[in-house]
Amino acid sequence: MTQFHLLAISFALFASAAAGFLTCNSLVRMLMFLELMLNAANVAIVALGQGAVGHAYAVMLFAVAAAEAGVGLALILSLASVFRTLEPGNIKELKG
Amino acid sequence: MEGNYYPLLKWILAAPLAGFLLNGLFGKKFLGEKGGGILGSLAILVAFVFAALSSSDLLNLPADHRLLRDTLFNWISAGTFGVDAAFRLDPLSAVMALIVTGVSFLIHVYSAGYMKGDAGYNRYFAYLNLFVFFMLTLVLADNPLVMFVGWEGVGLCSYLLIGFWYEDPEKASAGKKAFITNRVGDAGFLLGLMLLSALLASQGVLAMDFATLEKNAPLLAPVTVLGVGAPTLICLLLFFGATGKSAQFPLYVWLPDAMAGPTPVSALIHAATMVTAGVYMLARLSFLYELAPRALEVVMLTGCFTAFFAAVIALLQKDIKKVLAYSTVSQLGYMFMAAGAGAYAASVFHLATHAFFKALLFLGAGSVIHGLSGEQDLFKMGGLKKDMPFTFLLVAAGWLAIAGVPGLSGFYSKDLILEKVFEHGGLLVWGVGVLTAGLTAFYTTRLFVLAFLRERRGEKHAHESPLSMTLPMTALALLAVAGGFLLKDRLFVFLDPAYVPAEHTPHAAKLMAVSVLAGLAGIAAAFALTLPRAANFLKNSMSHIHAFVFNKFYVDEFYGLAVIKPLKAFSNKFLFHLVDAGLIDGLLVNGTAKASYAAGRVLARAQSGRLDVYALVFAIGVALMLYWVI
Repeated sequence: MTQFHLLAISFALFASAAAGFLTCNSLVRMLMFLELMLNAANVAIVALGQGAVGHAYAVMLFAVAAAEAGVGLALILSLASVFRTLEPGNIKELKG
Repeated sequence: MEGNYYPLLKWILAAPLAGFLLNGLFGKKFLGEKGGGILGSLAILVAFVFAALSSSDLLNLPADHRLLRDTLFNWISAGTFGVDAAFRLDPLSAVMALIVTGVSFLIHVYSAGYMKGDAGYNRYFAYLNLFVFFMLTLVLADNPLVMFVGWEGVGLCSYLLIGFWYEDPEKASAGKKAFITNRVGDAGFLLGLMLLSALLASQGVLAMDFATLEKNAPLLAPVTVLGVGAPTLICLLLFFGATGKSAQFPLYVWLPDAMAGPTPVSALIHAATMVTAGVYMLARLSFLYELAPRALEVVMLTGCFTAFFAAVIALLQKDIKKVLAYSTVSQLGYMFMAAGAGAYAASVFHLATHAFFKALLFLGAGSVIHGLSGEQDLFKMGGLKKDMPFTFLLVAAGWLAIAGVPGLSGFYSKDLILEKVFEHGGLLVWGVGVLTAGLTAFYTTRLFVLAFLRERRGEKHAHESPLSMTLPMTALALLAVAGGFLLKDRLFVFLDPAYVPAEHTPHAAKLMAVSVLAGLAGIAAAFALTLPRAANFLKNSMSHIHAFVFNKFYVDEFYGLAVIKPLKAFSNKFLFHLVDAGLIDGLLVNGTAKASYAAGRVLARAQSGRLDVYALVFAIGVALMLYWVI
């Protein structure tokens, strides 16, 4: 596997996750696609990074992703309890 | 820098300023009526003593080195151009300073009696002291800019004192009229100063003090601005300022209305001192006017016309103070006539004698008004000789002095002016001057006869004024009687060391005889025509002319129609409705607010509140940025 192949995987993963993020209809799924995009970025970092440095960054990013998933899930839970829905289209409190 | 350093000069100014501050800030609470009056008068007395000391030191200098200077600080410093806050005492400003402080002191003392019991007693003395301070600034200034500070300051005090009884809307608006009319003139004065300094700077002269100006003024002679010689244009602009301050045609209209102020104010500011500022300015800048014979011609003709015009209006006025006001305008015309003929010393001489007898006449009128508890209508007076014997005698002295009776002060100065005008201005100007002398004698005699002689025509009880009023009048009466004789040659030698006393034209005796005859004829005519039968006959047979003159030739009405009404319409329609309400309020102030509000309304639509839309927009944004980066 060359760097090119790794980047191609990363790109494919990111593109399909972004497409899923924009098209899905549930906050939980959006969060999952978000994690996928983050992992795609992680792959790119490992591919471009020089050995140990790249690996170290990838490990740190795992930790960030885990924390983000925890915060995101908590937010979604409280949103669900307030609005009784998980469809982003039904939550319009930010309308100007 | 020539001229001796003389640190006493600033203290002449400091005394009235201190009086103003003390009376203005602490007067009502701590000084009270008596203390305020004494303090105000004392401040002026101190200024007078300092002025007299400085003047005697000046006299002890050799005749062609009489110049004392005092610099306070560097006022304006712009690159190489610099102006100091500096004062100078030379013969001309010494004479003016002595007149200003001397007459002011007498009028302050008089005011202490006249204003007794007025609610604004301390305010009155504070203003009066402030006026003296600014007048001394004007007179002692070492450059035209400091002079301009005084020039504006006396205008301010004049406004404050005309509208002193501001509860009366008519008096308040008289103050406004004086202030606004003076602004018109001041615009000319300021333009003249700017032109002077700009043109001198272009010739490499970067200082403004009078000595430098005098030395470098000839540099301006070949310069032309808009096809007119620079000195002529500057002199005309400065003279326009003088017509405002010194109430000459066409800006004289404020002075008769200025009589709304307390009578001592009319005597001090609107007869003896402030209104002569224009004459003083001409004498001070005479070196500039010497370069502009055309401007001098304008000055002489304006003075001549004003003298005659105002004297005619004064003939028929009913209000005792209005007669004196128009008389002042007329006498100021004489001074400008003399200045226009190049006889600055003669105009300053008339300025001095006029200060004495006109202040005396005004104080006399004040005494009459005081004695009759506010009556100003000449036709309701009469027979006051019995009730007010002192005032009668003192006003008689002023009357004979202004009428030009030989031996009294007005005779010497007026005769000298007419002689000079005959030499430089020709027969017509001289003839008008003599005619005006006759008219002057007529209207003052009329005033005197109607007020003091004949029988009483009003019911009001009259009483003699207190000593604090009659004593200053006595001093002025002595000056009005003897001042001309005492001053005539000494003043000229002082003002102009090269003056030769016996310099008279061959016609001098004849000219004098004619003007004396004109005066006597005026007096005789006034005695005859004030008889009720003669007066009624004239009034009925010439009712049109009577109405025309009585209404002051409708000049005020003409100004109302030609200037004030269009100006008001312009202000209302264009400046108020279009520019202020439309442009500034509508477009700029409310317009900005409305524009941002509308923009907010439009942009708010983008905030749909839908997360998926935000995500899409965000993704598109990122894609565009990527495209831009790569």
